[in-house]
Amino acid sequence: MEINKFKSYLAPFIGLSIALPILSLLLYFLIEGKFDFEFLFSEVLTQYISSTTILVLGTFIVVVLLGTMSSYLSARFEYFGDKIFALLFVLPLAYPAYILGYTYVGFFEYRGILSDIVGNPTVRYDILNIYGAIFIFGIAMFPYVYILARVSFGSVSSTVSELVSLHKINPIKAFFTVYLPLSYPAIFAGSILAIMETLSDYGTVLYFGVETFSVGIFKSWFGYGDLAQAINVAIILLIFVFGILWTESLIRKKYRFVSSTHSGKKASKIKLTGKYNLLAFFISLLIVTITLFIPTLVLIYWFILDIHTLDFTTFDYLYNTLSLNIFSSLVIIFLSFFVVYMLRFYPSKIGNITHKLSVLGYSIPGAVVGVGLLIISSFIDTKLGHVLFSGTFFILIFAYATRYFASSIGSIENGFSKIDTSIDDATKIFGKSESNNIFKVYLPLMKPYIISGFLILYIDIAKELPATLILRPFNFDTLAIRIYELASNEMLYKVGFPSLVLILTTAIAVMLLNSKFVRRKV
Amino acid sequence: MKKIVDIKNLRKVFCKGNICVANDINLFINEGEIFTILGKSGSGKTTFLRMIAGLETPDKGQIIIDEKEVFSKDTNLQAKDRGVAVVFQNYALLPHLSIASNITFGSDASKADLEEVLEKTKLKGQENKFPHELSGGQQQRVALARAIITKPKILLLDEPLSNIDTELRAHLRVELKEMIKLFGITALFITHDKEDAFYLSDRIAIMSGGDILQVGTAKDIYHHPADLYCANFLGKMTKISENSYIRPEHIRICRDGNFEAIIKSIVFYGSFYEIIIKTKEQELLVHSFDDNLEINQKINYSYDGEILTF
Repeated sequence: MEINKFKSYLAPFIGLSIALPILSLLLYFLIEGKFDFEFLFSEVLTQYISSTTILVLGTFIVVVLLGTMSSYLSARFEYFGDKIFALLFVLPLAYPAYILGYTYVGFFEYRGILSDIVGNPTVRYDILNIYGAIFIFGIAMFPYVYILARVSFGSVSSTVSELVSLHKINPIKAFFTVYLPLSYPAIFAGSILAIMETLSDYGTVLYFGVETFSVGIFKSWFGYGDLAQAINVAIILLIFVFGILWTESLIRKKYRFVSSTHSGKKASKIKLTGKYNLLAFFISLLIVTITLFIPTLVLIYWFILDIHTLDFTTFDYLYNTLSLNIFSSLVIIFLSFFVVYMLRFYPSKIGNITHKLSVLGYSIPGAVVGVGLLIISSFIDTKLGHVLFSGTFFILIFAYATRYFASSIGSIENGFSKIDTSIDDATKIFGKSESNNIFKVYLPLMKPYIISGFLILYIDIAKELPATLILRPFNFDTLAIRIYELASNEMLYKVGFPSLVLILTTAIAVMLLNSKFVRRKV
Repeated sequence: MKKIVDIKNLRKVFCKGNICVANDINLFINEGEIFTILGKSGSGKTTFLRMIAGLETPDKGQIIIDEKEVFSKDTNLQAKDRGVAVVFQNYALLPHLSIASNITFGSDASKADLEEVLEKTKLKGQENKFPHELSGGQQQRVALARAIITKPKILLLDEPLSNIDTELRAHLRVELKEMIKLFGITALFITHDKEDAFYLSDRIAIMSGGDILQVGTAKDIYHHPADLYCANFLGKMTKISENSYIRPEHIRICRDGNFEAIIKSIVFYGSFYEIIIKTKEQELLVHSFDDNLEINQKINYSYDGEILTF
């Protein structure tokens, strides 16, 4: 019995540790920090709030528009090239938003690619502003809406579509009055993910000169060395994030009815012919041209320009990226497996609370997590009298765990939820030992979910910038950092090669995640 | 006769909703017996089975299996150390393991043991297949084989026949009884279906609200139910006076019957007719095989069986 009691504390311990950077920030604020009320009414804060709000709302509109259009076409219709488009709509997930930003700036700038195409060097569009940033976040994040809404549109019951045709409702009216409302929860959930990613971004907003909270945290901490100010900004950002999550929970409650219309036989796809087939094809082509083809072609163009002076140290950065990413992803996915397993077999009230705390990280920007970990590591190192944690891989992986634990644990929980509890009972009665049950039953049954969780982590960590910038060990740079530094030094064409290398690795992960093997099981 | 399971004052209250699922239960199961707990859903029968298996912890009481105390105030043996095996409602087969690996999962059974079990459960030739490749009946046999190969002191069967369509269910019921008797195992069977209980059991306990209301053979409890709840649960009845009831098959429509009535309705159920007859005082339910009865027909009837009095 005692050993069981001990085991029931393991999951809460890990959960609490994962949430520590966020909790330490709050604790520091409560114990040491003083809230600067002058700052609360300052122009700087007003700037952060207004920029972030406009950015979030604008991104929300773009991702909903692009995500809904692409997912509705993909889930409900058969048309020319639909299967290829279904994959191409997901692929922008492989692109970090800041790389998309660099490519579009390069495309529209003075003597840029567009001016080359039209043959007039004076043709340029200045997109280095908040609207340009909204456009970039929109095309980078719309796949979140696409992936969730595609499932929702695709699983509408056949009785609903039969009802629509029996009542002879015209397709446009059917979309706005039946199919779209039924998929509101999925669209909304996807757009919340997009918004959280937008709030977390640092590279793009910095490049586009948009003064968001993330930029504020960096400016306060690295620009002015003012930790208290950085924490003030981080706390206000947390309030902002919780406001969004609270709105989301209200909206989710309102649309609980939807599950009843997503059961039974699924509605079959409608085969488009003639002008409708062409229209669907051109809309899809337009979306992938903007979100995928133009950025990729720009990167290839830069790569060709740079071909004689290619920097082959890129492969050193690739090695750093791969080794750090694979190791971090493995650590986090197995921590997630361990926590979910322990919570399933040794549940406790405290475990449920720490579980909720540990998944908060997905809504907390990397910069906030970074500052939280700086507080912890500097506190411990100061107490010890020598540097033990600061600037180590341990702290960096800790940051990734805090930031992305929710997405990996989500995949693992999804898997465990599909294992009937009678299997647990069977292992208790027939199983030789707990470790034997884990290795012979649970790990094999969970394989597709572990793989998908690993891939999600890999993609997220490869694109991560702010926490890596703050916490990376001295002299250790990843591809993402290298690309950010090149762009910061206005060497845009040099960005092509490392970006293509980075995107190649994340694109493989996205395609694997989208493959039938993983999707069928997950 | 040797008691394989002996349960004394077993009690369990679920904190959530303060529901009592076992209310000081005292029960024993003899060696070689098929004993059934019969009750509606929510009666506490599955929790009772889970407490014996060691999958749920009782609040108090004592559980003895084959003269070994497995649960008491001071003892709580783990499920795998109790000498029990369970056939689950959905069989709980491991989808990624072959049939042979499923059967020997966790056990130290020899190849000869496996061969014997495969033979007796008619699974020979299926051992390299996977659960999804087998029919419902075969899957049930795999679950049974996995349980039997561990040579349990008691085999616990948690509604293995529910969720199966009627035709297959009747077949599996026969097969299940044959297998259990073939291996000479003591079994505790949980069900909400009285037909399953009547067919399979040597003795039946009726459970409701965490209480054992009556224990006896199928005939005993049908003909001499302990109370009105048991009587109603086991079959239809009509009230004929303040405390007296009669079952529909115990009313006989015949020319020389003592009482007069008019037929109010007739429903054909294939093997019999269910008829409502109306007397001056009341309406009575009758089961009859007579093909020549009509609505509004005047008939005579008499009581042809035991009148149940509570």
